[in-house]
Amino acid sequence: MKIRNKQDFYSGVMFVLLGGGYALGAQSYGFGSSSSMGPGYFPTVLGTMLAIVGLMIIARVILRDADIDNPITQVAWRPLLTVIGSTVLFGVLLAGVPSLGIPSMGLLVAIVGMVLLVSTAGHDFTWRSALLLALFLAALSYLIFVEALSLYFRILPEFISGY
Amino acid sequence: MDLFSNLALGFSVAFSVQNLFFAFLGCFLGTLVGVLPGLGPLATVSMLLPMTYTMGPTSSLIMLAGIYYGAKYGGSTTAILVNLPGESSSVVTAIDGYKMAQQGRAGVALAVAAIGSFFAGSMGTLLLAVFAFPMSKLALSFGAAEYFALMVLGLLGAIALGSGAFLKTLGMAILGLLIGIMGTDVNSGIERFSFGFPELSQGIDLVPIAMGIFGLGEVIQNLTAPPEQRSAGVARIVSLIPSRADLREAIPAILRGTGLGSVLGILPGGGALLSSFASYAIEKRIPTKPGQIPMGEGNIRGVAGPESADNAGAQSSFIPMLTLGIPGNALMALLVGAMMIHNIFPGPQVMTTNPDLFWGLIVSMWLGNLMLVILNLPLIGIWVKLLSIPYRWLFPSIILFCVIGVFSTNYSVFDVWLVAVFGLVGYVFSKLGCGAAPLILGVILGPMLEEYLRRALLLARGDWMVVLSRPLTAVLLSLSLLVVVAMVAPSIRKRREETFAAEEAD
Repeated sequence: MKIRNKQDFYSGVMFVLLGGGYALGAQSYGFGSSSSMGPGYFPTVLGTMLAIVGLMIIARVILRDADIDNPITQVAWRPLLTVIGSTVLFGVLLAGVPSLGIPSMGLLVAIVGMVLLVSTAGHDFTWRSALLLALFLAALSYLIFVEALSLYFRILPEFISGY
Repeated sequence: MDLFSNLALGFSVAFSVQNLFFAFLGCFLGTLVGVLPGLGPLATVSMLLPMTYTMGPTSSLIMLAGIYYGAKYGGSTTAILVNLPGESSSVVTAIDGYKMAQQGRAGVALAVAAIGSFFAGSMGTLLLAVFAFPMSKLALSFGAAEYFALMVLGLLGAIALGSGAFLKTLGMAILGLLIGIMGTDVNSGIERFSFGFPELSQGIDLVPIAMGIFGLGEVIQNLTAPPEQRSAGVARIVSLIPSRADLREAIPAILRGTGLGSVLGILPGGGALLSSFASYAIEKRIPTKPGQIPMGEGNIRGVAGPESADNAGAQSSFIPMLTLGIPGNALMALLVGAMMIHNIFPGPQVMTTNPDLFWGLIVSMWLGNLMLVILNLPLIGIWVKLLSIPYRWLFPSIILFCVIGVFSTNYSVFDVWLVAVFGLVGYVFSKLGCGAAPLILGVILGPMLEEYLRRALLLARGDWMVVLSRPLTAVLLSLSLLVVVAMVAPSIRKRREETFAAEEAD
């Protein structure tokens, strides 16, 4: 038989997996007893409840929603990956990844890199406008976060500032 | 302590130069995000939470609250002028408001929306001031068992009154509770679900979760949708002054909306969204007199009622948050998070331990409503101009402020990774049609729920029946059960779907 209410079906599957995962993971923490709840008590109860809710959703999809079409719409890979990717890029450029030998590039490079990358996901992207925005935001952030709020950031790349 | 000396304290706090500034800043930012489609108050508050680390708790809450109710005003402006509801609760305002604008009555619609919002906001604030003391006095007599029951009822009520399928929202709330209790267990010192990351030993902060799901999520959604034609004819404003006939029709609608919104706002999950939809549904049922414009065709009641209800609900949803420490919607959960940043544990004791914060916030909300009328009516032209800001400038700035903000809270790049992870997780949720608001409530309530349950069971020597048979606990939990039964009953489910149908029809 074919499942047509896909959104609900996979929500149910997600809840069963996550709830089951939490409940099983909690078994190593010590359940305790009702009068003195151990660290595993509450996650076990909640995880089990979540898994049951998931099973109820799955059951309803199979028993009742046989003729309800609720497909999962096309994943918008481009905006998704660009937005997530630019967030990761910001972290990598700002702090570096010592274990991979990537040096810290500092706040300004991180901002420019992030803004340029994420801008490519826009509907009316041009390099010129994205670059102008990146430079503007880098200057603005420097003024707000470093000068005005005096938060501690590495401003310039490691190999230029030398620390 | 009587109401007047409390309010006097509130006035002295709210009128300090610093707090006046932050109230204004909040209202200004709120109006801004209300006007700009594609940036909502939830994303904005999550974005600004890290900034409040450097501010005092009172100023932080004054500003964040201003964003919340300020967005209500801003949202109605674009709904009326360009048929773009800047915020979900102004969806119904756009129906009659935009029709009025097309008939050359945009100014009247804006004025009535502002008058109604101001009246409702003031009444909501007054209600908060009057009810705060008896509510928190009652709450102070609660034991752990009662608190546990109250939180269960609050969470289930929020699920029932919010939109979305009951079982799925229930699942999201439980998942939120589970995420909330990750990290070191206070009693045993055992790290739960930290997967070997030292950064997770304190659990996951609300800030990266909210930023990933609401901040990044909103941007991804907007970039997926086809580009909007925003320049499409902005209605001209001829006169702001409503006629006597307009007022005769609008004032009863404002009163009805205010009453309805105030009541619904107190209920968990009610707040603003439900209020404006319910008010529109009521106005629709009241017959129009001959000679008046029918509802849906530009009737002034269709603007006055929902806008008043929306604002009254926004103010009265502060009541359970401030007096009981129980957030009724996702935004209130974020405000609770802001209080916790400053080591203020929300609950009935806030009123006695931090009276300046409590009363200062209440008075500042009234002042803020006044500022908003001024910000919105004479300066309307400026806000309309903002609509022409291209989204290609807006969304990189949103993401940038999110990542800088989250990094600066702990100077830890791990938090940046968490934002990325929750951005991805939030996208999965949206693809599966699982709303994230109950999850945020769960994250906030998780640790409290566990602690109260633990204490209640300890006092009852582990006997669940002793906990459940305390009179007040029994009443609260029976009510919770009733909520669940009602949600499953077909007739009520149908009516609930009808109330939210207007949202989808748009």
